[in-house]
Amino acid sequence: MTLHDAEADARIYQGICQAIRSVAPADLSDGGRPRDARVAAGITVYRNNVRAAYLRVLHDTFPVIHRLVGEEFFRYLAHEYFHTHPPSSPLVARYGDNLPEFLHSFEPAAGLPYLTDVARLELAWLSSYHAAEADCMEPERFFALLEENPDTNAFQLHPSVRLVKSPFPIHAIWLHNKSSSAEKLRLREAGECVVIKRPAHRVFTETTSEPVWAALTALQQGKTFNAAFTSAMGDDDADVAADVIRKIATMNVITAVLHTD
Amino acid sequence: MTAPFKLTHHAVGVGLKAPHYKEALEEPHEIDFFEVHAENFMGDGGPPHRWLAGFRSQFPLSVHGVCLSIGGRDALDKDHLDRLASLVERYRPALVSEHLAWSSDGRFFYNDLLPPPLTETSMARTSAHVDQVQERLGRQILIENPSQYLKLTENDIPEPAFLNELASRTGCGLLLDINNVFVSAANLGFSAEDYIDAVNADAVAEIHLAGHAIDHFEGETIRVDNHGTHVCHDVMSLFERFVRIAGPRPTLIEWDTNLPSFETLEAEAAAAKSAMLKACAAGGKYDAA
Repeated sequence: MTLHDAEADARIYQGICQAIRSVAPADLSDGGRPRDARVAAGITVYRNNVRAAYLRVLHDTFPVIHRLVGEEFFRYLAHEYFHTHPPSSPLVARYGDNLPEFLHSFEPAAGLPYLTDVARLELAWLSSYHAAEADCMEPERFFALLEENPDTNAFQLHPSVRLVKSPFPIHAIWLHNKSSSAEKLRLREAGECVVIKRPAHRVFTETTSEPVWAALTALQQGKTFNAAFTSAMGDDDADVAADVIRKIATMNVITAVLHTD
Repeated sequence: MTAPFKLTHHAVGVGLKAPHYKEALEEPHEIDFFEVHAENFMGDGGPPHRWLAGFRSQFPLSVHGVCLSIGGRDALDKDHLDRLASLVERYRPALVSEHLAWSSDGRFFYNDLLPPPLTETSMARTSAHVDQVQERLGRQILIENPSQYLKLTENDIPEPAFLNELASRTGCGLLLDINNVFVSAANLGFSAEDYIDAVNADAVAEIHLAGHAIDHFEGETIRVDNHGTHVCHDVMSLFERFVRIAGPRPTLIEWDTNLPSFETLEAEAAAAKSAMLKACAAGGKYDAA
């Protein structure tokens, strides 16, 4: 590489990167030279393009967060997030993967403690939407397999199943704000366990009981059937266990049986 | 999805957008092919792939990558190249394209098509990147000229000469974006006609047409390639000029922002087709191989 080319490289790649990432608009002109308005205008286009593209990604991924906080706050949030977590992946649609954690410690949003979990729900929905395809098992087959080797059989959950739990009623909040309903939302104070799945073309969401949610979580972690249900039930009685099994069998979330021994 | 569909030289297509999926797949229309952004189909499954498989069974496809950073100074992201390769393997599109641009440097990634230096050093580097992509995909790719907003004084090689040399060294084809030529010419102050005439037409395997915006920053007027409106008259004239001289090429209407109805896109494609056929007749170019 000639000296000229090395300088061209540094100047162009580093200069444009710095100008895009800097909080305040900057230009590429030399310190000694007068500021070139044409260069500054060109840089502004790239800065705007990049910022607008990532704002659009956050809008698309977090429509409910956007509705909850409003356009102005959302733009502020996007700006702060961009500077705290500069994008690093060519999978642009995954930008925002750590927005829930960012929201958790984002002081200006401290008055809305449920935002973090609503954002987790929105991410889970999107990830379920793009998950791999698989066929779900009929309930009859599931029941039959349960009889076989509950100590060594584990069940494969559908690749689109996502499980989100929160001390806040996030599903009710999410559902209400997904549509443009102007009605006032009456919330229960309890938290919610949410199951998200896409058995075919459409993503479905539902709230479920704590034992069902815990059993699904254990199955997703690869635990055997018995281990999953023991961890889900704790000291609860057999009737509850039967309900959990019936519920999971009919949820359209199991795709295959895995023999762990 | 068996053999790859082949495009005729006078095929006119449109960029495929989700709000148009149903109408474009289920209603009759005259669109010859559809182009998709590769990165929108890099998930494992779900509705995007279900729709795309439906389109692939009825139409030729063009897969247009926007994030490979072929003009970057870093090594290509192998994981991303693998993702592109599996998409190409899955849908076997008629055309695969990327840009003479970069979007990644160091650990940062920018969702935009940024201008590389046009020097001998970047020629060697970009050629190696194009070779690597073509080898991994096992097929030719097309490289598109990006919209330019900055006049880089460091450049030694004019852009059309750079693209011609890149095609000659690597065997890649060129995707001539005529709106980008027009936008760059206006922003950087060169002749769009001279640019079109300087491109090696034999290497051009696809043409892009789009609308752009006129904006004002820092007291300067800048044309911004926003793909948000009709193809302007000047761009259509440049398109006719190319076709008159070089003959038709598969031509695509890009409309990504301020998305219109599918009917409007159909009309835009029909206008491009009509301009193409008129220019073919005027130039005596009837080749429709």
